[in-house]
Amino acid sequence: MSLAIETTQLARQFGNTLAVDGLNLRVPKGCFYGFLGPNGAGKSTTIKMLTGLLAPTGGSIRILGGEMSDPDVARETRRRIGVVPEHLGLYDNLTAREYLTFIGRMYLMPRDVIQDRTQQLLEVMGLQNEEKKLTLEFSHGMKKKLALAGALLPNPEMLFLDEPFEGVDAVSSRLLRDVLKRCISHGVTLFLTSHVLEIVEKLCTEVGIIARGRLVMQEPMDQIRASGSLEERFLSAVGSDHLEAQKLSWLE
Amino acid sequence: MNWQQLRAILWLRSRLSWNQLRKGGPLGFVMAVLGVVSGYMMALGASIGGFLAGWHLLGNASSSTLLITWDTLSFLFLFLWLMGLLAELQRSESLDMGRLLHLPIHLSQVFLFNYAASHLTPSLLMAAPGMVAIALGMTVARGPSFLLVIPLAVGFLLMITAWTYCLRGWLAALMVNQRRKRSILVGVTVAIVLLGQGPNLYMNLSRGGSQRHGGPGRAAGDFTQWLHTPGASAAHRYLPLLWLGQGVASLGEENLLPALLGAAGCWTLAGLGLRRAYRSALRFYTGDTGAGRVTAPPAETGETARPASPETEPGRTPGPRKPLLVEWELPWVPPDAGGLALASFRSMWRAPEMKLLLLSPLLMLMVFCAALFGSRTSARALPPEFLTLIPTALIMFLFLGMTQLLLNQFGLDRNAFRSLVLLPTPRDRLLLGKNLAFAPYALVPAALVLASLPLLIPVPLESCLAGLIQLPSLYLIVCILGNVCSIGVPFRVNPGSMKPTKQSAGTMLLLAGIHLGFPLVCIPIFIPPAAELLARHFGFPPLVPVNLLLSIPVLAAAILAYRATLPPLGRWLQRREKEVLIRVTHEVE
Repeated sequence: MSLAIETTQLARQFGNTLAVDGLNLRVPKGCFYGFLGPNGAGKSTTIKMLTGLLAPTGGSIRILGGEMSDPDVARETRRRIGVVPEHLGLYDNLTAREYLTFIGRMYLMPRDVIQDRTQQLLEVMGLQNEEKKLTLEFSHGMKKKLALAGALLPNPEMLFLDEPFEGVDAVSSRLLRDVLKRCISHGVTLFLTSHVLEIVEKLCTEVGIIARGRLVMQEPMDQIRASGSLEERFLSAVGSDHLEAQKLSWLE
Repeated sequence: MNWQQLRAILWLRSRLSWNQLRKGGPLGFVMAVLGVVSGYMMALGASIGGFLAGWHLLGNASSSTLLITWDTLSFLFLFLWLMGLLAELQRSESLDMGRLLHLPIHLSQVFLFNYAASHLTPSLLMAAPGMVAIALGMTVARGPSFLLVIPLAVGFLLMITAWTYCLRGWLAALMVNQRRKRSILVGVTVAIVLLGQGPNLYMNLSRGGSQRHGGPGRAAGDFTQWLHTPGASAAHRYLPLLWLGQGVASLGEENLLPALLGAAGCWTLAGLGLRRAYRSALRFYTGDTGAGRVTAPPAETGETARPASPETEPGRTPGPRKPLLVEWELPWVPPDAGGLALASFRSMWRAPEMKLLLLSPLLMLMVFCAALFGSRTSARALPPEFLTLIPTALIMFLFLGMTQLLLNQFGLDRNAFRSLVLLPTPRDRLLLGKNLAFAPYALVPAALVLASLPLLIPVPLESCLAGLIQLPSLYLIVCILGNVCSIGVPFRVNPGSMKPTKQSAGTMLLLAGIHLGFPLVCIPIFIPPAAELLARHFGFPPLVPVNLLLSIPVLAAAILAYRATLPPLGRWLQRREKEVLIRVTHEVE
């Protein structure tokens, strides 16, 4: 099986806190991988390390076969991946078209290709009527769509999406899901972190669950469905805190 | 709010301050303590100095002297206060009322707490104890009636602070609209700078020669004469900003009524200002920002009420689109570096802080030039050696204003630096693109100033031409320094301003050192004019333009040095980009 992501004993420490502790991820090419975990489990830290936004303190990362500890290899690998980070890295003072043109130029794409793809992406994302608006005037959902458009523009082999559905309304969420489904049908590998279990259950083909910095479960979605719901598996994997009846009795 | 709530609020503020101090590290802690101690020292110095001045200098002063003194004190305070206001233009309250709206406390108390905290500024730390101490000194020297100056001065200060607090709230409400915010920031800043520098410019330019010949004594004489005109009397009677001076002067004539009325008026206006500020603060936090109209949030789907553009109307063929600036090709520049240069240039062009940064050195330059060369005749009186050095010195002066930006090139990107880290572009090209983006901002205004210099003062033309060659030389040298600092000691900058956020004490000291040592960086461009002066001194023929000729090899050396440093600095950026990202995108509490 050819792997899109392979990490070995990946670790990241912040002071005395071990945010990610010996993570061994195996993500096959062409799959839609949902990376789940409770708050503070290490999801964002992991995706930042995978995309080169944060340096690991231990272990190794291979993305699309490239060893990411080698800066030159990492830079070349970035040509083949697209990223929608949690805190979107948009230029506040550019319009959507200007931002996409800038991204295209940085990927050394031909001018006519940039123009065609930009136009199509703006139309698909419903941003074509916002020519005059700067991104700082965009709503959160519009910013997410623009960031996804920027990630898709160079036609990447792999997409990293950190909480793409957070703060997005139902209409935009549906649009994003449709775009991601189309990516999968074209063989793009998708790595997604989300709190929304329903979306992961609907879209993903593989699921990994992280808790307290360690990978506690990694299974194909079909297998999870066969043994119950994703929610049940998630809660049993991370350990839920049940509300004890005798506590907070004054609430009655 | 009861006592328990007040204690909780005070604890919250102290805890927030303490945590912020702790994060700043030991050096930051020491600097903060030094800041507090120097604040107390300033207040103590103003008190002692004010008391002695009130007792000895104003003890037997005439009514006119009292009027001039207190008018000057009022305007001095107003000027310093406005300068401070400029730094804190955006709403930055001690405690964010928005986070307390849902709690069962009376917000007027929190508002008053914030208002009181807004008084902890250097200008007020000097003005309030200073004015009270002068009043006490005058009381000792002239009698108890001068105790009335204390409520009058305090009322005056409260009136100013209350209405500026109200103005801040009003501006913050206006700035909810992000585009309007930019215009307001630039407009208010320029207005305040012009307000502060206006009298200076007026004195130097329109009255330049005569003032200089007459000296400050003559200026004071003119002002005293003006004070006895009916217009001045009316102004002192009806303008609240002049009530303090008027009240004290009338006390000097043993007339208590104007002082009493002035104090009552100041306190009333202060109360009205606070009342208005509180109401606008409440409206701001509850979202009523448009005089009854609630601003609609941006449409989530992007489908706004705006009519469809002709390009999107069905049945119409879209016409050829005008190429965007970011699509242009820059000759001899790699396409990715060119793309970054144009996108960064475009982005900065729309940033209000850039406009401010461009305007500030030009305004300062105007004041500087007006002070030095109020007229061509006074400039002609300068020695010719000095005139040869002026273009080079001007370049240094203009670049000094730009260093704030060039030494922290990624700081202005803030979160957008994340997209640069994610790019596959070689890092030396990122540096090249960034340096090219800043070039028009640094070079064009300086070139314009140099080109117009011979029209203003009798500078030798060849010195100006040499200056035009020295300009790119210094830019390249500053770019090398800027690249090193941008990678080595980056820091986050507040959106809409150039105010650093959570800059470590070490970074602060290092950058201050670089600013102080900036003339050393400029030494290479001073070599050609210095050589020319030496050549003239040793009798070299004046027809040979030494300055101009030597500027060319200096430029060549600067280009070679820049080219040689770009690849290693690019590799350094690649190694440090994650650290830079953490620094420039660090979230604010």
